[in-house]
Amino acid sequence: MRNLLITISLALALCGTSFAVFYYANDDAAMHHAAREGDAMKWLRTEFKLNDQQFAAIQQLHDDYSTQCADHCAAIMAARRRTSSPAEIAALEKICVDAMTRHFQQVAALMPPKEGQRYLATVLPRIADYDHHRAPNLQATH
Amino acid sequence: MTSPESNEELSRQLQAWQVNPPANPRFRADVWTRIQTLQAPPWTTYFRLHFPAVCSALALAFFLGGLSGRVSAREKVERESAQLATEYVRSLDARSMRMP
Repeated sequence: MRNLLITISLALALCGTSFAVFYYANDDAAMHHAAREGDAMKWLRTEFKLNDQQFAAIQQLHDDYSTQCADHCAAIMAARRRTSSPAEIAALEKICVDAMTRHFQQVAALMPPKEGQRYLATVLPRIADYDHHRAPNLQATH
Repeated sequence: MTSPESNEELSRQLQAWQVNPPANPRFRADVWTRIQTLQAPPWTTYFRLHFPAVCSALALAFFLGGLSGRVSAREKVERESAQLATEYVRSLDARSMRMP
């Protein structure tokens, strides 16, 4: 009985140690850091394993697109403010979606091909999943 | 020297003396547990005697611990990644901006 208890204790200790070792081996500290700070660009760099050069080029593209996005945002908000027709708002939103899609394709082109495909597979469905009725409570930041 | 009278007195008292210890319902079980403990071989001997079973149990524990550690870590990273991906797209989506 005593030996059986010793064996069970050893097995439990080994199980716990193995859990800890494999947990830390498969953990991603950079991802946790990005999640804690809500830093989407840090996520992009970590998730798609970008080197400094690729990241700098994508950051530049992102900054350029932010200006374009701000224009689209202003146009959509102005249309909503003056309670424009749904067709007009839909047309403005389509411009926004097309621009976003183009931007994502340009970003993907700056990544290694395999990572670029994975990036597009990650972001494009999220454009399509946009739900007007569950729009996030965000203020325009750019 | 003691007198014959005092010996008779002692004998009477000894004859009248009764010991009534409280009954222990686990007496037999406790005795057997002590015997088994004394008879149990050391763990190293136990390990040699049950080598395949003990090794299998330890290997299984290592495998299950490692697998659950890996799955837990990957799930957490994937959850955070999905959340950040949504934030990333949302930050570039003019449709999601609200009027101030």
